[in-house]
Amino acid sequence: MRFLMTYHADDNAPPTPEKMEALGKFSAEMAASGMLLDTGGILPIQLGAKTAMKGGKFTVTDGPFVETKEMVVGYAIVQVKTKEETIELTRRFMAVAGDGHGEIRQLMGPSDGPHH
Amino acid sequence: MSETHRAIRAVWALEAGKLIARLTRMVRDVGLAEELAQDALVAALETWPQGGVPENPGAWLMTTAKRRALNAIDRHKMLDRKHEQIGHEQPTAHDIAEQLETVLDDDVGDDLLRLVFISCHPVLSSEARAALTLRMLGGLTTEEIARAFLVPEATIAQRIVRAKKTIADAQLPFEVPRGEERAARVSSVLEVIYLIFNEGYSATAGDDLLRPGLCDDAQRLGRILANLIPDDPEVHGLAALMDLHASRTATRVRPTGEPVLLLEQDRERWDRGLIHRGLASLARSEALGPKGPYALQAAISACHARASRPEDTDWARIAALYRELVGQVPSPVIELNRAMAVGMAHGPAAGLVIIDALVADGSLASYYLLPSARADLLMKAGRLAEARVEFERAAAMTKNARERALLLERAASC
Repeated sequence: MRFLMTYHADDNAPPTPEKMEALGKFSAEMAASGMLLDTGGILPIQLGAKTAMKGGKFTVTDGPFVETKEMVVGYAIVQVKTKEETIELTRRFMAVAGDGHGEIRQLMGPSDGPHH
Repeated sequence: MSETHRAIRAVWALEAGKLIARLTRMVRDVGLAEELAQDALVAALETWPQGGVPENPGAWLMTTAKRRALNAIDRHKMLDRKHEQIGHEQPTAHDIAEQLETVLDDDVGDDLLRLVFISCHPVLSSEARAALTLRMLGGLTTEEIARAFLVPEATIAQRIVRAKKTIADAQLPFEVPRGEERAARVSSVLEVIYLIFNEGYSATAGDDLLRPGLCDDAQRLGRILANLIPDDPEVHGLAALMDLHASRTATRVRPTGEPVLLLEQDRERWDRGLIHRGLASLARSEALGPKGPYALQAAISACHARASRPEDTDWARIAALYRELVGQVPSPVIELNRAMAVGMAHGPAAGLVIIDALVADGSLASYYLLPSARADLLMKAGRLAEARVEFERAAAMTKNARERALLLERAASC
């Protein structure tokens, strides 16, 4: 089964060289584990837009988004055999990345129904 | 299973290979290393439910296993003294304590690769290699392996015990093979991973056509290997092949369990992410060197992946790739696939020429896909009565209940 993990750092200061190094080491470990399919960062909403479809009417909101702090969101997609493996990977990542919050979402797959 | 137990299994899936690899370097005995690692797992199962999962579970397991290793070595030395066998190459407790300082911190990759080579050593049967690799590198339990291969747990347990004994008896070195031996040993590793994948992808027994858990394990092993041997085109070729095949998993079987042929699959539902990964691995493989058997098979699979409609398939290219493949790996099964591709590229009559040569050759006499393929081409050539006989012949030969039903249905449609 596959999971999408996202992470928002509490602190938006750019990471220190030490943290960068630790994060680099962590992603090498993730790659070596054979579980990582893809990883990357999502840039702040200010560079994107919010979209909606309401009653057949499509709207795009370009901002400014005062309510959202400018922040980069990290994501990773992993292929594992249990949700607990994803939790363990996330725990290890956050131990390196620092305070923040995230979500673990299962991606729909051939053998993964929503109630699986 | 409690929440902590599931968490421990998750840690195990991540740590088993590294732990066993490091311990093997220390105690120079893969069987003992595996036992020490298992002991550490048992200790975790006993203590973590009360105290919680430690901050660094990998290091916890390593420290526990190390302590047991030192005890085991002490016991060993005592026995040795009793039997007056001092002098052979048993590492001392002091050696190990010294090793530990460096081992804990350095890159585990080399040890892991040594473990891969020893688990997939050609001296072991392919079944033993698969079981050992899943247990030591995939972190699967004996029970999980048994369930995956549909055999009793005792069979797998015995297979693993025998394999460890074979390794000990043959005194297999814990090393990365070099020179001429290396290519053969790498291909032995790839063979094991592909065997595991195929066991999941095209189940050879039982009523289910797919056991996706094994495919996941094999794909993970393929990625681990691509990370350990990044410069080998065939390693990336196999990773590509598995991802491309796995991209079709959702469409290969109907909800009712019947198989769906490649050309009848709903291509909209092929997994774009896996196709993308597969094509990227194939490109990496091609950049590293000429195509070997896995890269060729991946290139064939890629022809299908690139065709958004069945009629867009580049059959001439597939036929040419099969010709190259059969040149490298002379096999009647590959020749049969080539016949099908030639039939698609240049008409059923051209394909039947190749198939009829295979029938005359006789080496596929008990292979149900031969009459099934012949039936398919006969049907396309409009020779319906002959096609029906061949479909029925194929149905009588297959062991898989779902396949049989499909073949009988096709016979009835002729």
